[in-house]
Amino acid sequence: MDVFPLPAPKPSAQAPIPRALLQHAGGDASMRLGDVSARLSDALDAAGYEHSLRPTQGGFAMLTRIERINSDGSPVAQGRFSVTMTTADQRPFTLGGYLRALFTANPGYYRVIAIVVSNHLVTSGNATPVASTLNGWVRSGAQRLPSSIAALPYGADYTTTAFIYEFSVSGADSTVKQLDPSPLLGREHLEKAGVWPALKR
Amino acid sequence: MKHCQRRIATLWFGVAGVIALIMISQTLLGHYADPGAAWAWLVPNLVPTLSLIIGVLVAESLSDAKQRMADAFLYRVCLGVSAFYLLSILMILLLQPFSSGPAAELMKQGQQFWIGPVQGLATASLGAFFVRAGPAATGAPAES
Repeated sequence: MDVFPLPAPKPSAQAPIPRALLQHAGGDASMRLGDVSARLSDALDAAGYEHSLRPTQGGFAMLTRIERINSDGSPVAQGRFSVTMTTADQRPFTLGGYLRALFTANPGYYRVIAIVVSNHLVTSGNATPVASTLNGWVRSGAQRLPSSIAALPYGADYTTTAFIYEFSVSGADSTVKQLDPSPLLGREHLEKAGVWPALKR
Repeated sequence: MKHCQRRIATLWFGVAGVIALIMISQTLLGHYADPGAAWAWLVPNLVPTLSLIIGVLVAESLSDAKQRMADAFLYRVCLGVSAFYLLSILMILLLQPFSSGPAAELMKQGQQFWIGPVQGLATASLGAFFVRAGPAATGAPAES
């Protein structure tokens, strides 16, 4: 299985996830990578995401399936995980929405979240991510960590970072472009996605 | 005859004007990532026929020939095919927001499946109506 690369592909936004949000009742000292994985998995499940794991240097990465979002970062009500990336407006028909779609670029926005847990220096490079590649990683990823990795202690040298990959499908020609940077902060993406509130519970 | 030609010309210029205004607005508002491709699709579908109509109307206005009689059936066929052809083009633009594919693909499919064949019929009927003028009228015209 391919590893999630570090430095990570150039994100649209990123946000560190504090240890306090990942801690379980047993306290920080007893936490293992398996506990972190389960905590993240529960939060992503609560936010309605399909997700999978990939190994990365010094840890693992958890990726969400590509989703269609509104310009404010919230998931669309219908067709959230529609396979086809399109500009077509999937909201209920309104005259204003129709005219906007007819005359303007009417971009559709898409997002992939990659949460990287690693004790290596987590940075991002200049490699432009491709939406289909990211989505392919999600589909071919694992559902649980191997026990050898899950048993590793989540020590003080580990960091957890969420990379947001946001894409727009603009114009009538359906040109896919990465938003670089995203108009939203990484933390705003996680809040709108419902992941941050789920981690706070 | 002249009256019938003007009715058809009004249809063509009226609908072509609406189509052009929509395309200009879409181009200015950034609807197309590649506006050149969209215009390259539209221009050959409208401009040759509009040029033909203008040419004939100008020639008719400069001519002092007698008023000719139009064939009522040919006139209706020409009007119907023209209306169908122009609405087909207009629909390609108006239905884009409901299409899940790129506009360029919609234009290509429309051109291949129905606009191309109907264009042949429209051009032939217009050619017959505008270019192959009938003999001068001796009686009351069927459609004047």
